[in-house]
Amino acid sequence: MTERSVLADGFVVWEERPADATFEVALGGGHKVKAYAYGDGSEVVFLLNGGPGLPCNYLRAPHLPIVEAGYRVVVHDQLGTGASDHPDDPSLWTLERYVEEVEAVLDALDLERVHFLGHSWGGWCGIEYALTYPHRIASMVLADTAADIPHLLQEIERLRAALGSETVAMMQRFEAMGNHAHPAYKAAVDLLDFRHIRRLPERPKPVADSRAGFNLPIYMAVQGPNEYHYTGSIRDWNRIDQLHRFTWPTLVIQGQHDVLTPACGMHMLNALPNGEIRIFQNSSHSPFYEEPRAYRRALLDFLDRQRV
Amino acid sequence: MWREIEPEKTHEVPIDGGFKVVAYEFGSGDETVFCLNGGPGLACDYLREAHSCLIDHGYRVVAFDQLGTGKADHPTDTALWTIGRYVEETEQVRQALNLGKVHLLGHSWGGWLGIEYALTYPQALKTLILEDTVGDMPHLISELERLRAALGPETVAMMQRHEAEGTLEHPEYQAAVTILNYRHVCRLDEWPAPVKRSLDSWNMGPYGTMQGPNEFLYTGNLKDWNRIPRMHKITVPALITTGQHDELTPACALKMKLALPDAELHCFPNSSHMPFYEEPHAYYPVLLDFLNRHKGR
Repeated sequence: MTERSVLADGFVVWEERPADATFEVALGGGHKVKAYAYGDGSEVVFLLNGGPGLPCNYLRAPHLPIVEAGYRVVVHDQLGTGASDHPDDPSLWTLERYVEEVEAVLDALDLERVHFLGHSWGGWCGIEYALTYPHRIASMVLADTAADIPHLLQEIERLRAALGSETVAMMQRFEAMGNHAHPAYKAAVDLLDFRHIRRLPERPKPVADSRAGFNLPIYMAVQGPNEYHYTGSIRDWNRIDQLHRFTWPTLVIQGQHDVLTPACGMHMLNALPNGEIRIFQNSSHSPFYEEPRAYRRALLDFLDRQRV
Repeated sequence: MWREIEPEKTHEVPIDGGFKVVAYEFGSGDETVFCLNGGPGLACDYLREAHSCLIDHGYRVVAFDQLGTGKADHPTDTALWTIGRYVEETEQVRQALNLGKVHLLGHSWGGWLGIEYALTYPQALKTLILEDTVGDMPHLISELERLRAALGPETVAMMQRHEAEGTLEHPEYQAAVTILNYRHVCRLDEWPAPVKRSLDSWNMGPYGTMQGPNEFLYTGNLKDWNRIPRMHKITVPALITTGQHDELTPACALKMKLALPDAELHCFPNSSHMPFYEEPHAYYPVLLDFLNRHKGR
């Protein structure tokens, strides 16, 4: 079954359809993850979605249309999400294990070199992967992500502050009490989500599908209770001083209103020996839904220049 | 301190138009505190339960479900939702229960109604207690702009966009209203059961017709209402109470005090719109002190 969102002139914003090939990939520890491949050819775009804890639907759907431009698209449901195994073992939710999981997928599918697109958490994991397995990287797209979480947290303070000092004090009080479910606190998070995650009146269906499968304990262990409060293991992570090792072409993408802000993007750009950046003026964290045409054009322009 | 008390008597009161409202009576004696609750469109629970405890101090307490709320009839004719008709309804309840001269306590919308009632039936009052209310709606609306602005210019622009497009149910807009409600309507993390009961049965008919879609947007038939120029005619002793964080702000309260010939004003520093629940230990002594000084008038 195929589902699509098509604009009046025929532009396909997103598409969901059965994969041309699916793979069950065995990981160490006896767990399995499910990978999906679309199209064929030697130019592989490997997608790694954000969360952590989200099934891949939201990132896969707006990228399937690039199959028509001649790319093979490969993506997988990360462990604990979607059609992959859902073990209930908190010790699995580490950046290092997810890096090994990505390597297991690329190895199992025999993908020697890929154009690696990581979105949000998929960017953090992608950066860590590329530093560990650089020989697999042909080029990289770091979309709506950051390489320096302490810097990101300063930026997030700025976004929170725009809600006014009394709102920030209220948020800090509930965070201190560990009460992230109070309606006033959730209301502040909702306001920020509509401003800095997705500036759209409604969630597109693939986003809603990913959200419906959100494995929150993974998110909580690595990141925190929401996009504006980091309590998880990633909160001190910083790879800026390693980005000089990224010798391959890297495209940095950010929305002007992105929760992972343009300053986070610039911070990475300044450290990358072979980087370029695109900021989407009317987007936040999801330019592929918020400005789909401009995003697609920028992505394909970059990828077409990287063809080997 | 407030507690939930069973009414001693419940009265069905016929009013104009063939409708009935339901009044609740607690205690006995000559000193009657007659409560007019806010909304409009709210059952009286939240104000009744906050004041029935005055019987412990020798007062008779009466509250009623206004037309369209609680156990009163629920007609749907929007022509009924005018402050003038509610004034007559209030007078019919007072007459039917034979209350004589009362200490009239109006909260929020009940304060607007109380002011209008005091101007229409001045002989029915011993005192007037105006809680968390205003005499000048255009001034209030300018004050609400200030409260909204504290959420930041981008939030205000978003709210104005949804208000212009009529998409007030959008979760983004509702989120802004929720933050303001916990800041300026009731600052308790957990709202008391009587407040929840009143809110859960809110009749949006009278509210939308007279006030507006939420506490921070006035579009109804009261939006231009202003009784400040006539309040000098209210000569009975008046107590005005407000919260420092009240959506109906201390500046609104001060404006009434300056217009009334015999008024005193008390502002509760840690309260917003419901000091009787937010700061009960501070609230009841202020109210009882005023009532005790004006017994037997």
